[in-house]
Amino acid sequence: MKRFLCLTARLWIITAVANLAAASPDLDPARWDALLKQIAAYQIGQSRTGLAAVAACVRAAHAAPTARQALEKRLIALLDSKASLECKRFVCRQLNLIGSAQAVPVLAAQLCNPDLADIARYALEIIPGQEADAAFLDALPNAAGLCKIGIINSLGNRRVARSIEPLAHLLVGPDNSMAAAAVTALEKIRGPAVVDLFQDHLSKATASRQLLIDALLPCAEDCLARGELDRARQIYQQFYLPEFPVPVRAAALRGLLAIERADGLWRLFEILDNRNDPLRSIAADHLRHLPGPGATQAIVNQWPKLEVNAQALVLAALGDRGDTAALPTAIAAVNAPDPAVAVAALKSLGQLGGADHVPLLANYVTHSDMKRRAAAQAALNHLRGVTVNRAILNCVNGRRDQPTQIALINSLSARKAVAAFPDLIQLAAHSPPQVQSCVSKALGNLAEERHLPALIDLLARSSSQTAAQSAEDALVNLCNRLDDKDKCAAAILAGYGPAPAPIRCALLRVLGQVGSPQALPTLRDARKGNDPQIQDAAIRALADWPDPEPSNELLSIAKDTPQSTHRVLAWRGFIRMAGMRIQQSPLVALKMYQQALDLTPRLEEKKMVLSGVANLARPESLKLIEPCWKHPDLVPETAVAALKIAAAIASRHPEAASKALHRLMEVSDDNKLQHQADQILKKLPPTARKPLN
Amino acid sequence: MKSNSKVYSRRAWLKRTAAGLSAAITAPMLIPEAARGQAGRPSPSNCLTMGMIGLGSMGMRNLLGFLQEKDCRITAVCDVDASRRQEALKAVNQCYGDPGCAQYNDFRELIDRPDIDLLCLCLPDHWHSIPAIMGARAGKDIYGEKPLALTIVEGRAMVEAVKRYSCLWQTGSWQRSTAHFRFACELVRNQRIGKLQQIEVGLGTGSRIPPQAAMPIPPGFDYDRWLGPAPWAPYTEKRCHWNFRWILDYSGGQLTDCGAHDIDIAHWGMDTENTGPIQVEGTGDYPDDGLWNAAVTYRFECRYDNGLTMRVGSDNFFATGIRFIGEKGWVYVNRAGLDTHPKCLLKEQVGPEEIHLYYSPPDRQGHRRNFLDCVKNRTPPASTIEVAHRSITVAHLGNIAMQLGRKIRWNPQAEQFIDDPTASRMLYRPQRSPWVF
Repeated sequence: MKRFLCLTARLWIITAVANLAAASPDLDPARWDALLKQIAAYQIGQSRTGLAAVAACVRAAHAAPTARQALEKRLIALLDSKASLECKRFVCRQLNLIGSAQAVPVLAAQLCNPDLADIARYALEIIPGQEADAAFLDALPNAAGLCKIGIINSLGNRRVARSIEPLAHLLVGPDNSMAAAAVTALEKIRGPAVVDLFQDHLSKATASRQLLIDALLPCAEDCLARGELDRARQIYQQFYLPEFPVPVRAAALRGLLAIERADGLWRLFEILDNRNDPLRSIAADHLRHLPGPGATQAIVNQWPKLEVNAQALVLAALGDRGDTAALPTAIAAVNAPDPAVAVAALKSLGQLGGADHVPLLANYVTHSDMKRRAAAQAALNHLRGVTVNRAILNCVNGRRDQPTQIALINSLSARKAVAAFPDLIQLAAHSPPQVQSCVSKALGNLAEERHLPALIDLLARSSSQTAAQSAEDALVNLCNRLDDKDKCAAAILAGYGPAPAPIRCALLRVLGQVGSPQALPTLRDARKGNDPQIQDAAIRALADWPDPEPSNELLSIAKDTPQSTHRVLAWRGFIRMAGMRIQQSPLVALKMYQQALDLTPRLEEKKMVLSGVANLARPESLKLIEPCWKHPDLVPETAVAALKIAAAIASRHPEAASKALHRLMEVSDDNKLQHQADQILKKLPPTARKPLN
Repeated sequence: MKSNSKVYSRRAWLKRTAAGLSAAITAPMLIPEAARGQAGRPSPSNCLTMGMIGLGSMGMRNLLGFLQEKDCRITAVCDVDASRRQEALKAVNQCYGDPGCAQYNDFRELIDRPDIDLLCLCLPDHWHSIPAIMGARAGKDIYGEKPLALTIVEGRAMVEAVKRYSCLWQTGSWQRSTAHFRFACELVRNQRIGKLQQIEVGLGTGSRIPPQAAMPIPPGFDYDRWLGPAPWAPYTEKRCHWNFRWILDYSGGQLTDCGAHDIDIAHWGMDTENTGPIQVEGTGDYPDDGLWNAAVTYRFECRYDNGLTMRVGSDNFFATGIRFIGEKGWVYVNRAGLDTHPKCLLKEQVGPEEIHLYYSPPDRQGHRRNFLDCVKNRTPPASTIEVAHRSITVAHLGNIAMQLGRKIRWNPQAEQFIDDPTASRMLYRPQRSPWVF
């Protein structure tokens, strides 16, 4: 029997799919009948290809009114038939899209049927026209429970004005849920009659009082939109009274301001004046958007009368308004004793001020109060105007105290004041070390390609080690940002020749970061030279090189140099470069790792090799690390590498992986690694799982 | 061990005052903002109380995030699945070291509590509008997960309620609080790629499964309430938790799920945050069989009245993320990072005279922090409800155009279709009784 049902279901699906391919709203009647007959028995859990075919026709029916009508008729007939409940639910969903007045009776017949009422509304609520309105109104008296609430909801969503009276009766009925639904529906219908009805019931109702209040608020908005200002004002004033809940008062305030606009300013200050008014921060927010040309001045006039907390809120709002009429207030308040007011004033000054206010803000960038300091710095960073950067530079030159100078220079850097570069270069030459360091940092951020020679010159002229380091950092910063590394190298090499030894060392380090092939001959010469400092810098630069180009050079240093530090540096650079070869030349990488493992005497570098070779997923890698199992100090790293390589090659080289994993289980005492090895072994083909002799 | 927390049964939600009193008596009591200092609205120095509604994957992620914020205290959790509720309750009580958190099956009970300042709504899409509107009416400030709403009309109703009650709303579109997304949009807004010409948005691809038989409802799962306003359907596991997003009764598929993030960023860069397209056309592959019916692959094009064209598609059509294409180059951004042509744009800095977009602290946690800060300061948050509504409207329009299989014309000011009665029927969906937004 089960097999028979399965077969029937499959046949059903096949036929439906065949129909789907040909489905269109103007399908011939015989095929439509066959398709609808199929879906009439639809149950949840079955294939819905037949339903999909019908739904596709429904969606396509837009362009073919005649076929659409015919299709609707067929769906109506199906809804009125003995089709399954699931099929009828599907039909209602389709009528949601194409149902018309002709579908109303059959849908209306389901409004009191608990099984189908909701899905019938799903269609009926959307169908335009008075027929559907009437169907809901007719069904209302006879419905009960959830069906009735659904009808009420639909009347509201359709905004059926004729339903005001029957819904009004429900407001005073014994059933609170019906009353609630009626209030919500009436709120959507809106209009003067609804407002009067709600007002009338507000004085009587108890349980639904809050709902009535919430429903009157959108009604007031509706009055506002229709230009009935007095009626709207009356509702808002009524709910603005202190005895109403805060959200209702907030809504009323918003409504009143929409009517009164700038004339409502007194209301906002009335709230702001009252320390305990819960609407205070909302009132301050309204100040941000209060319209009218004189609004800012009006706010400013009232501002001094406020207590300090309100003053801070209002200053923040004035800053956001962006009207310079508030500038004098912000300027006067930056020195306020209350920290919140002062911080708000500094922020506002940053939004409203310009070049003229740089000196004032500069007075606060070193303030003992961290919040004021940060606010002043942020304000300097955000000041607008083409002359602001010049004003900041003038201020830097006019100030004597270093912390202020440093804050101003940082501001130029944050403002991306590239035009200030020449002035800052000059400043760097004549500043004390701390300021010089800050200037160099700013120069590094601001410099463009054309500034390369100037930065190299700055490095060359550095008067102290700290200054030289800052200039070197600035040069690295610029070179890292530039795409053309050869140009960077050429500029640096041009400065390299005439420079004294310490500067040459710095330039060699920078060249190591840049990595242009043009620079390699100079580095090779430098490392073979007689000056130990330059030699050291060159070897470090080669070891840091961003690509594997100097790997042979490093191998030769590692093998030949007498200095142990240089040997270590060279081996580390060489092993790092082997890792860079893995993707493109894995055999070359393997050879490099082998050389390093064989020749480097120290455990630390051998461990680096193991860590690197672990990323080389080849059986040869396992062979390479094989000797390391015998060295007790290298067993942990060898085990990690073996596990990683084995996991990566297990599918392609199961035997090699198996051998390495068995070795790991035998030698390593790390339980976690042993468990992981065991897990990989279990996934290997049975022939490869056993240990190989 | 007897717990202080209590599961509340459904009761007449009309009795608001009585409900508040009841909750105040039976639930563990924290002193609300209303009773401290500036009543009703939080003062900067005080702790904000929060109720979490919806405790699935995003709900728990947000819960753990808000637990980290010292000036916010979660005092109630709500979900229709008892096991999820218990898990959340345990996390909250463990974090605070006391059994002070209450649990609810019915979100209305939680919203009715006058001692709760904030709501975090992390429900399936078909449950977004009703609790949001109720929450706004109750004077709560709300962190609401994306996508904003199931339909365009529901979204607009939410916007109106939030504005009406001066509710502070942050949408969970946290990409706005991510530095590289903001920088990408600043590059575009400041014309670093010249005049913007078109935008490509690549989103996730959907999935299919075979038809699913009805199953017994698991114990502790209030399935009828889970369905809520959606059309009735029998329980089957793959309909509900997490998978709801593949079914059009409850969501809009990957298009709305990912689109809420990436179309939002596209609008940010395009400077069309408060409007929408005027024409939408495209095709989608909606499964003909099986339980899930949201588009698996899809592609549609939106035209804006400023001449811009935004093409949205699943990631088989466009690379995941947003590509802004201008006269002189492009900016491509997704969660993995930012790329530009020319490359040097990556190192650009936006000057003080240029357009700076809204700054909020970084990433998901920063986005939550931004919400709390804005509640305290009463300043607009990173992702306002109007902007979120406009973003998700694009995804809804895409679904409507693709389902109808033809071009649709849209008036973004009136939020109405132009001369298209069939498309107009898809602006909202009647809800199952007794629910209505």
